[in-house]
Amino acid sequence: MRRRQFLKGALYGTGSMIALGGCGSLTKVDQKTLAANQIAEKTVYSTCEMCTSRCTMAAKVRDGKVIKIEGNPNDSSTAGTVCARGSAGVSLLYDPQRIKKPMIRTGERGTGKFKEVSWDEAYTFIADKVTQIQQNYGPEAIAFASRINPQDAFFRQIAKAIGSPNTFSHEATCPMTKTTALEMTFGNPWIAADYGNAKYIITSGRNFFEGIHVSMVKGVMKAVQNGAKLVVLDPRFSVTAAKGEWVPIKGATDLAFFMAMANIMIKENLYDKDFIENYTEGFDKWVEAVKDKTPEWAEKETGIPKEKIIEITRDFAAKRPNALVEFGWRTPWTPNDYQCRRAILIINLMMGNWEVPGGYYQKKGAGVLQPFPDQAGYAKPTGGGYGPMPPAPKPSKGRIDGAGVKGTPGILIPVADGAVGQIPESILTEKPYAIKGWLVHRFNPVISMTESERIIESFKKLDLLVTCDVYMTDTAYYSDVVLPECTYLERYEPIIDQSGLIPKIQLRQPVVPLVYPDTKPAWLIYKELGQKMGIGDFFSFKDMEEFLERQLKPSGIAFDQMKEKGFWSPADMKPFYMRGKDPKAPAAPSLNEKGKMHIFSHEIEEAIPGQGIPVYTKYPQPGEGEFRFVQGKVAVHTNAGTHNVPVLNELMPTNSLWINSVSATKLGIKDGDNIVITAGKYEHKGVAKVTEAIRPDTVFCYHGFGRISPGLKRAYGKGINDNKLIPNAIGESGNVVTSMTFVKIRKV
Amino acid sequence: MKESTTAELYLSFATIFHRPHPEVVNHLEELIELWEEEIPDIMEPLAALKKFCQIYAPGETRINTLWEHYIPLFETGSVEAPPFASIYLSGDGLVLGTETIAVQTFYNSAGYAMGEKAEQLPDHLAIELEFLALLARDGEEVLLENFRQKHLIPFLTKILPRIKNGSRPVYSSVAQILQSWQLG
Amino acid sequence: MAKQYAMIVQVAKCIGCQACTVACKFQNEVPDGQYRTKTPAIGPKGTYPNLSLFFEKEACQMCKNAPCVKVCPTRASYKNEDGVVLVDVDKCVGCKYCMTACPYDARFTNAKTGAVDKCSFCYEIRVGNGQKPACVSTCVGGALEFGNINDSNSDAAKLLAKYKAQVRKPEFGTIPNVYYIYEGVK
Repeated sequence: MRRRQFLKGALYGTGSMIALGGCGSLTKVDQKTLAANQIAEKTVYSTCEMCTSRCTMAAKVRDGKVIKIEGNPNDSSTAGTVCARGSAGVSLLYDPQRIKKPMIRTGERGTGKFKEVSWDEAYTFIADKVTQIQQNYGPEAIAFASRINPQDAFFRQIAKAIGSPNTFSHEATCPMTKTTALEMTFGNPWIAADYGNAKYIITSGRNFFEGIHVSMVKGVMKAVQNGAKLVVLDPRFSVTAAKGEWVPIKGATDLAFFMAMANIMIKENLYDKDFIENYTEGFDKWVEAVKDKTPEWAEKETGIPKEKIIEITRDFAAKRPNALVEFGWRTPWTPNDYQCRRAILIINLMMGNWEVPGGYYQKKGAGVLQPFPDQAGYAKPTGGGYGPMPPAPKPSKGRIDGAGVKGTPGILIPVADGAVGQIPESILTEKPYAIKGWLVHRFNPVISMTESERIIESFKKLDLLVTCDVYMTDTAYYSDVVLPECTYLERYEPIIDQSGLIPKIQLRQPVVPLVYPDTKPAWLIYKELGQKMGIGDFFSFKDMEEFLERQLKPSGIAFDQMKEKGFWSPADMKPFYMRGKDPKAPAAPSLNEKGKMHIFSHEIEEAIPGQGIPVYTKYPQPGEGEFRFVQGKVAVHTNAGTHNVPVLNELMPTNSLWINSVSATKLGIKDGDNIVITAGKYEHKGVAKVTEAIRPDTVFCYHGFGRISPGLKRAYGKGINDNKLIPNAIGESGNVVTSMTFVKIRKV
Repeated sequence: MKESTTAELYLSFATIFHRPHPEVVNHLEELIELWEEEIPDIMEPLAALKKFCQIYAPGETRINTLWEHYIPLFETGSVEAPPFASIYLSGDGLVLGTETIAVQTFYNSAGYAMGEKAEQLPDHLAIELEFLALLARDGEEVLLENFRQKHLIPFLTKILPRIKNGSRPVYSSVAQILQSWQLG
Repeated sequence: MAKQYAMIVQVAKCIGCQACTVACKFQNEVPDGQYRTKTPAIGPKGTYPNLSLFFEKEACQMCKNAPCVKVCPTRASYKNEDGVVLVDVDKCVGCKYCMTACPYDARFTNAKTGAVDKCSFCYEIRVGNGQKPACVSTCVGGALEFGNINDSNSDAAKLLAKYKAQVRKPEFGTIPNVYYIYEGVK
């Protein structure tokens, strides 16, 4: 009998273990070794990654298992707290639905048929395809897109080493228009607000209390508790609006509101002339630009009564310089949204709130402190971790989005981020040239980018699509190769700089060993892939311990100390405001050599004549039977990242479409009714939430739902995927355009 | 070492519930033969398995077909029947729960531990079956029955219906056979 | 003087983020789909555009005159020396009298233990070690405070001295030890 040989050989032939197929995990051990393995309870301090805010955290570990995640009690910026998502990280770590092995697609794209392979097979598959594409089309035909995070540098290193200029972050789908505005005004984007000491805060859509960044929530809440006024411009009544004064502004008109504020401040002499004179250039052109932007005009545009605009402006200006207008976060609302962000920055400059309590400041990393003799001693900068590296090949073609090219509109697109919406366009239209390979790291274009079906269509034209993630995301589902990353609780990452008014660096470190043994940290994945591709000498560090030691050495901070505490800040340093004691003190933004902030931007003017100063664009408003479609964040989910995380899915498994009660009545729609939302050629089913908490001309849903990957079992098919309805347009600063879509609603 | 049919049976199921491997997948016929000889009243699932073997000869198509079903059933994404005992017996639907620790402690008390190269968690269905194959081989009848009653049976009671009632060929048939043998 | 532990909820500072909900779940190993505390929205109330919305944390109110303690036939529900109402899992027979008696709907049958479960102020696992309950420690908005209100120096007592506080359903005469301060609620 054949089987006698087959199974018996395995059972009796090979000593104590069983060597057959996948067997062989169990081995004989003596009791002494086992006794030595007993571990008691400990706390490991690290950095959260349930969103991109990178709050400090403390993992409580018992017998090698994380039992709870808390805030780091030694970090005053969070007061030792983490949000719901931070706590729920435990259920991501131990989720049986995570990806556990590399996979290669065996069926057609989108049929979900895969086989598992070894890492070596996966690397070989990718390396062969990359070589093929390089030979046939050139290295620039391979695009790289990732969610910005401390370790995506390793992913980008692959692009650098093969000579592809086409690296992209997710930022075009979120905060990029404010990045452009900051760069064009201050010369760098590392600017932050001192909310806690503000006496008046105006926010245009930034929803502090639902798009949670713990230390910012703490700051805004402190200001409000101390009596600061909080004014919230938003077509929807958000939780932030509930904590302040809600001003239900008409969508896509925020710039009109800010131009009118400037108009009033100039007319009534309510701005800081000394500051404008000493620290800025081009104010005269702004005076000219807003001279006819009266409150009466703004009332017509925004729907906000002129008296209200005047009242807010006067009260706000009276608190100068300790008052601020928030420049926003998820801001790609209109094609030229960056102009609205620019106007907001100019209002802040008019308040003279730069580098004073309750205003804006340059983030005080150790490098920023160096020119200040009183401060320089508090911290020394960290260094690089890579070690020696060969020269990278110079890309032979420019980027597909033209980002960063001086004198062209591309100058508005931050090169580190890029216009990620250009990738599917270049795949489909082959303009300016074809993209044939797309590597995706911890990013989910199908849900995070606009026009989901167009993204999927573009996937089908690719020679190679690779996704590295922790879950079988909607993009992974269509990929040729899926690489299983371990979670943030199981890996080291490069040093994270979270400096605010004082320097602060953080460590992300493994709090437990790998739960699924064949998952890997990104640094290792790309180092090994690089080796397979013959570009291993771009990764000349042994492991992350060596990398981190190198980074920390110039700072004089010991690696062991970072491992023990999780973060470092100079203990006795007070918050440093460059103009805190002397309103005339030198306070140049860190990369702005001339020391002047650009109210008028020569760079923009050169690229797009007439746009050097914010110019108002009158966008269409929804007609009869139409609604402007806007989206937003909720406290228990992050973008498209957490909807399948067990505990968070349990708290909020689906979304609905908010519609004003008067508008709903006209359409015969009742709360909880099934509806169909139509936008151009796209339709989406959903459920109506009939509410008073939104403008009658606007509908809203929370982002990240309506998932199409059956591999996200809990989130699959639940709710509305907003990006299915929004066309893939590329705004002037490379941004996607989220709030210019008009939809129709019908009951089913 | 005395030869044990029980050990062979446990091993046969362990190999199937491990990730598909050519060493096993290409010998599926031999496992079917073993089950046919040793386990009564399994006509229907046996017929289904034989039919599968007829359609898919040993080789790449056969193993890829098994992967196509193994991944959504046990491994990644939808995970229709999570293969970890902890999911069913620890109360929070997550891996590495109290049941995992209990199973691991049992392994240790029997002089076994998860090796350094182990690619699965200790309470994976295949590992528990592999452990029982080792106990049967070693003639540890008391330990075997103890582990079976305390850990395997409660686990199988929960997981087998999920595998059996799914639409995944091979796995649903093997689940029926394992059920006849263990829970019959 | 004997201790009296109490929780203070400053409603204006609560942003409904559910950090408390999730922290409690892991701290107390509350099973899948069950909660000892939750913080639902109250509102939005009013008519567009004049609206109000706030959040109210729900959990055991730690009553001085606890109806659950009175009806418990096995003394599984009891009040301890620090004024905290607790459940002795070993004594609980699952009769659910307490669940019916509780005017705050704060109790449930724990799917793992089979015993009745509810908020314990994290008495055994945190308060005993000098820590505050898990929800209080992780409150992002800073809305929660906890302490011995018989000690006038405690932060909890100071809040009660400074602001007017309310208890839920005072008409039941339960005399809760969870206080809600509505100062600053819009």
